[in-house]
Amino acid sequence: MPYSAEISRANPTCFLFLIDQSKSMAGLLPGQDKNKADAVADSINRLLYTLVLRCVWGQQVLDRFHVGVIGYGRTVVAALGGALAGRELAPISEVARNPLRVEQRVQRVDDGRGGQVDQQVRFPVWFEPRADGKTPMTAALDLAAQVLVNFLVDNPNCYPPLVLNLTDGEASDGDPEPAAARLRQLSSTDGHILLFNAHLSSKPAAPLEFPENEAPLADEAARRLFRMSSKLPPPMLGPARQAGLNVGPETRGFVFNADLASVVRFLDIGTRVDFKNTR
Amino acid sequence: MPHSAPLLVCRSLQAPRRGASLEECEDAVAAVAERGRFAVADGASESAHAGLWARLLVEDFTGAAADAWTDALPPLQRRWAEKADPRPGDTPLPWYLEDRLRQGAFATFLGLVVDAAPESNGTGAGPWRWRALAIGDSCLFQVRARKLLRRFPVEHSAEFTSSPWLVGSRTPPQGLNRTEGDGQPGDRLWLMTDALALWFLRQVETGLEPWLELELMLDFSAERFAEWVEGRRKARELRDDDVTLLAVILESA
Repeated sequence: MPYSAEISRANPTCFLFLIDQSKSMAGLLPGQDKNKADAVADSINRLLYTLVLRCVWGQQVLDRFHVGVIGYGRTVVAALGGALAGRELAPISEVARNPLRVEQRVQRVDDGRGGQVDQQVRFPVWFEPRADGKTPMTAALDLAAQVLVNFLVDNPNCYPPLVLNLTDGEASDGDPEPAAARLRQLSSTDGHILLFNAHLSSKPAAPLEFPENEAPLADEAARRLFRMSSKLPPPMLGPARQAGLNVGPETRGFVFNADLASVVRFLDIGTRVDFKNTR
Repeated sequence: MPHSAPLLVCRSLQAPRRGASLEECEDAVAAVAERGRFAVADGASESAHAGLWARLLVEDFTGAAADAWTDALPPLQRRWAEKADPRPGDTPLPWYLEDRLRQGAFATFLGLVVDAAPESNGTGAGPWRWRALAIGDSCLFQVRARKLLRRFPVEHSAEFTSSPWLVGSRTPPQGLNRTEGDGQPGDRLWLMTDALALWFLRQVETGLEPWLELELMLDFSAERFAEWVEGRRKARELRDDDVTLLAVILESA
C-alpha cells in the first residue's frame, strides 16, 4: 500500500517548506495584530522544533527527516539561517544543533485544575520573517522539484516527501499550475510526493480547511491553489479525522484564509506520519 | 525465554525491527506465571527512552500485588525520570534533549492477570478467571478448541490507527480498556504488540487460523522466530516494527 513506508535513519523522508516572502506578507492576518510574515515564521519555527523533538532517541537525534525551507520574494532562496544558510535540505540532527538562537517565550498552558497559567518555554529560531519583492511561486516550485529529484535518487524507497507551500496571493512569474503538476509527478516506490498549500488571504472571507472541491472558494487564486494541492492519501485520513477534521477521499491538502492556529494544525496534519513506527 | 508454573505455562518471543538489535527493541514483555501476571508494552519510538518506560511498565505490573494499577503509575513515572536522566541537577543538556525529557516517554500497554476461578477445586487445573487492561493497541486473543473466542481491545484490523491511546511517563493514561473472561484447560491466551496483532487479525479476516502458525513457534529459538518474522515482512504481511509475542497456556491436568 502506498504511503506506508517505514521512516528510519536508513530510509528517511523529507519535508520542504515553500514560504511566500513577498511584500504583501507584511500585511496583517485578518482580525489579528500580527503580520502574516511573523505568523508564518513562528509556525515554521514551531514545526521545526516539533520535528526535531520527534527524532530525539536517547541522547541522539536520528536523521529520520531531512528538512528545508525555500523562501520566495525578492529572490528564490534556501531560507534557513546561520550555519544552515544556503542549504536547501539538511538532516534533522544538523537542524537540531544549529538554530540561529533559542528564545524564551511565554505560553499559556493548562494548569491541570481547569485553569491556565503562563509558562516559560524554549523557542528555537531557524527562520526569520521577511516581506520584500514579488511572488515568484513558479520558480520556487521548480526549485523544490530539483531538490526533491536529488533526494529521491538518494532515497528511492522513502515515505513520499511532503512540500508545504504557504502564500498570501498569486504567482507573479506565470501560471504555477504546470510547475505544481510536475512536482506532484515525482515519486518514490511508496507513492507520489505530496504538495499541500495554505492560502493566507488578507480578505475577511470565512476560513476553509481541507475542502473536497473548489466551488466554495472565493477567488481564482485560492481555486488555483486548491487545484495545485495533492489529495490526502488514505493513510492520512484517519489522523485528520482524529484531529476533528471532516475529510473524505476527495479532500485536498489545502487551507484557505487560515489563521495562525489552523496553519499550525495544517502543518501538523501534513507531517503526521505514523507516530509509532517512525524509527 | 520459557516461564512455568504447574498448569499455567508461558513462552515469550521477540524480534526487533530491521537493522536493530534486541537491546534496541522498544517492546517489552514480562511474565510471572506463578502469580498469573503477564504484560506486554510497546514503547513509542518518537518519545524519550521509550524502551525503558515499556520495561518499567511490564515489570511493575507483573511484580505488583494489587490490581490498582493506575495508583502505581506516579511512583513508576518518578523511577523513569531518575533512570532516564541520571545527571546531577545543574549539568546542562542541549535544548532538544532537555525538552524531550520533559515531554516524557509513551507506550501502549496490555496487562493480564489469571487466577483460579472460585469454582476451581484447588488443583490448579482450572477453571480460571482472567482480567485484562489495555491502553492502546497491544492485544490479547483467546483461543479455545481451535476457535478464536475473544479479541481485546482491538477487534478488527481496520481499527488500528497511527495514534493509539498511550500511557506516558509524565502524563496520565489517555484511556483505559478493561475486560475479563474465563479460562478452560487447553485455552491459549496470546498477547502481542501491534504489528503482530495486525497480522493476526488480517489472517482471521481472510478465514485463516493464525494461532495454528503461532502454536508451531512455541518451540522456536529466538533466532528462528526472527527468521519467521523476516519472512512475513518480505511477504509484506507484517510491518517492519518490533514484534513481541507472549503465549499463556492453560494446561490440562
